[in-house]
This record gives sequence, C-alpha cells and structure tokens, in this order.
Amino acid sequence: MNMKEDQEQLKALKRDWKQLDELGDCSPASLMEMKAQLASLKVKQKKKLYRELCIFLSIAVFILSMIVMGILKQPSLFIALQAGASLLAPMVLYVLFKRKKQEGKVYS
Amino acid sequence: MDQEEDLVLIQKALKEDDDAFAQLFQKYDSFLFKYLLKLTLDEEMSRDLAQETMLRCYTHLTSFKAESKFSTWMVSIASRLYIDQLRKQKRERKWMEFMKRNLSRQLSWQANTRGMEWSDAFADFNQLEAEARIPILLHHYYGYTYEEIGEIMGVRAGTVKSRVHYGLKQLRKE
Repeated sequence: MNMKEDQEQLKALKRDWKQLDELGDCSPASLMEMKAQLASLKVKQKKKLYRELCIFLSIAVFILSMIVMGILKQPSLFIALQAGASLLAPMVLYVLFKRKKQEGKVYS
Repeated sequence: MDQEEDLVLIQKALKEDDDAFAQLFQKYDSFLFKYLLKLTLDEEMSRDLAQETMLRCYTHLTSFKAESKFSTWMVSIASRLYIDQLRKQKRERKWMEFMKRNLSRQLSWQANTRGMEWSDAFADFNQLEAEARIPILLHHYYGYTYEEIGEIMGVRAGTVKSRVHYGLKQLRKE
C-alpha cells in the first residue's frame, strides 16, 4: 500500500521536475560568455582575498599594539587579561570548530 | 567517451588553460542550473549558486581525483554550497525565507503563462529538509545510486537510504 502511494507521489514529482527543467531551458552560454564569467569571478575572488588580508593585518597590528601597551603601562591588567583569554579561548575554539564541522567540505 | 573528453579538458585546465575549463563548464552549465533550480525554486539564487560552484570547481580542480564523473563532483560541490547557504539563512534568522519554499515570482509567472500545474506532492516535497530533498531528487530523478549520493553528500549509503525513506514517509503523512 505504502509502496504504491510512494510510486504515485514520485510519478507526480517527476512530472513536476520535468516542468521545472522546461522552465530552466535557455540558450546555453557561449564559450566567450563562460570565459568572461570566469574572468570576472577570478577578479572578485582576488578582491575578496585582498580584503580579508587587510582585515587580518589590521587586527594583528591592533592586537600586537595592545599587548605592547599592556606590558609597558599596566602589567597587572595585562596578566589578568592573558589569564582570562586562556580560559575563554578553548570555549571559543570549541564553538568555532563545531560551526566549521557543520559546514560542508569540498568533496574531493 | 564523454568522461574521456572531460578528463582531457581537466588535464588542460590544470595546466592553466582557461579555455578548456570554460569549455568544460559550458558543457554542464545547463545541467547544473536545472539541478539547482529544483532545489532553490529560484532562478537568481540558482544562477548565483552555479557561479559559486564554477569558482569552487576552478579553484579546487587539483583535488578532483577522477574516481567519479566530473558532473558528480560538481553536483557534490553545488549541493554542499546549497546546504551551507540554508544554514547561513537559518543562523541569520531569515525564517520567512527559510520556511516558505515556493516557486519564485518569476518562475510562477512563467509557469502560469505556459499553463503548468503543480502537484500537492511537489508542494510537500519542497517543505522537506534539504538533507531529505537532495537524495530523493538525485536518486529518483537523476538515477544516482545510494553509494554515489553518499559520496556526494559526505555520508554513508545507509544514511542516504534512511533519509530517502524518511522523506517519502513524510510526504505520505502530509
């Protein structure tokens, strides 16, 4: 009974997917268009990489200057911050690791 | 024959021949777009995901081991990108977009002008979780085996089988 019902549902679904294929039918992109698309994607990726590198360097400079200032001006506060960070770091790492694990890897 | 042709193009693309990669992607562009359309029900989103897939394939081409067809590898990347996108939407609390999975306005309009009608099963299917929709679509429409889908989704074949079974059971209940 269930199997018959499944077959009917799947038959209807296949018909609908075929209709979607018809809706998605369009003239295929030319080789020139594909090449242009690839070139623009490469430019976008390069920009993204530079942006991320800039953010990374800015954060690194900020953290390093804070550390140097902390050591020179307030050694006790610096030690307290270091201790706090050592306690918080594993928790943050765990959350990030869990989130990363949820996101798919590229199939190779 | 097709696979051999793909391998030749891949070899050329690995030697930084962009023409070869463009040729390879041109061959599967329509197939990929239509696959994504069945998952997203939105032309714009499908186009964006197809472009993202193209870029991922390009940047990760060295990791393609030729143990499977290029199209299978590409479908795997596209499926995972789609699932990641849904997760991001969920995290960003875009619940309305996430929960209401209907044909986009443009597709609805096109379907109406062509007099297309959709079954109840289709509406119910589109409300299923992506983890169930993807294997049902790949198995029952594209003819992939449970093992192949397992490789595509990064899970065991048994898990795929139970997801398909669970998905169909949900459709029966709706």
